Amino acid sequence: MVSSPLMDAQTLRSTGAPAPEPPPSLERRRAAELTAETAAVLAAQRAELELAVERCLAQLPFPMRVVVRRALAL
Amino acid sequence: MSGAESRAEVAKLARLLGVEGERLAYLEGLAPGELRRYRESVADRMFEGDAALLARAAGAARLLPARTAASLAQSALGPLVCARLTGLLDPGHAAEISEHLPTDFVALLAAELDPRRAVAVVTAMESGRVVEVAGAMAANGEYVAMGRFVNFLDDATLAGCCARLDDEEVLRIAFVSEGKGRLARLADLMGLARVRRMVRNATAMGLDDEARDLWERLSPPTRRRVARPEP
Repeated sequence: MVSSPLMDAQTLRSTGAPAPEPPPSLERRRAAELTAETAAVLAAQRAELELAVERCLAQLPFPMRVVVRRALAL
Repeated sequence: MSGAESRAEVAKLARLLGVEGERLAYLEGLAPGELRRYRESVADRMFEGDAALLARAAGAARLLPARTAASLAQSALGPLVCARLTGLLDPGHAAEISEHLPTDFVALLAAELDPRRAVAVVTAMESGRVVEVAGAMAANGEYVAMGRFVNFLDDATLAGCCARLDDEEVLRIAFVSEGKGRLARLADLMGLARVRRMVRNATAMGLDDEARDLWERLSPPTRRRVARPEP
C-alpha cells in the first residue's frame, strides 16, 4: 500500500474525548463558556499529537520508517 | 483559606488549559473541591483521550535508540506530545532518552507532564538533573507545574530544589502544590531560619495567602519555633 500525507492524516485521526461536565454550581452561561474553552484545548492537543506523529514519521530514515509505521499500525 | 484555595485551583486549571488565570477568574467563587474535580477530569481526558494512538507511539519509541528518540522528540514531537508519551515508556528508556535532551527542553516537557502518570520516570532521573530542570522551570515561571512534583521527589532532591530556588519561588510553588502533606517536610528541609524569613517577608513580596497556606501546613511545634524571635 502506498502511503501519502493525506492518508496518514486520515488514518491517524483519533477519536479523542469531549470536554467533561462543568462544575455543577457554575451558572449556565459560564458553564457553556468553560466547556467550549476546554473542548477547544482538547481538540488542539489532539491535532498537535496527530501532526507530531506525522512529522516524526517524515523524519525517520526509510528502513526505520517502515518498522515504526508497522508498530503504529498505519 | 477556601478563597485562597479556590484561587490556587483556578491557577492550576488555567495552567492545564494553557490560558491566562484572569480569563478564568469567574471560577474563583466556586468551592476548591469542585474545581479540583473538574481539573482532574480535564487532565484525564487529555491523557486518556488519545490513549490508543499514544500507546502505539510509545511502542514505536521502544524500537528507536535513545539518541534517535531524543532527536525526534525535539525536532518532531515537541514537549507536549513527549509529556503525554513519557508515562507510557519504559522508565529506564525514558530516563536514557532524557539524558540526550537539553535541560531547557526537559523543563518544557516537565511543565506538561502529569507526574502521577510518570512517577517511575521522575524517580529514575538523577537528582542533580532534576534540580537543574527545576531551575529552568522556575525561570519560565512554571510554579503550578512544579507544584505537581512536590509529592514525588525524595528528600534529597526536594532539598536540592529548594536550595536552587529563591524564597518567592518556593512560596509560589508550595501554594499550588499537589503535595500539601509534604509541605511540613519541605519546611524541615529548608530549616527554621529560611521559613521564618519567608513568613516575615511575605507581605513585602505580595504573597500573604501563600505564606499563610504554608504556615497552616506546619506542625504546631515548628510554628512555635518559627514564631520565636531569632536567636
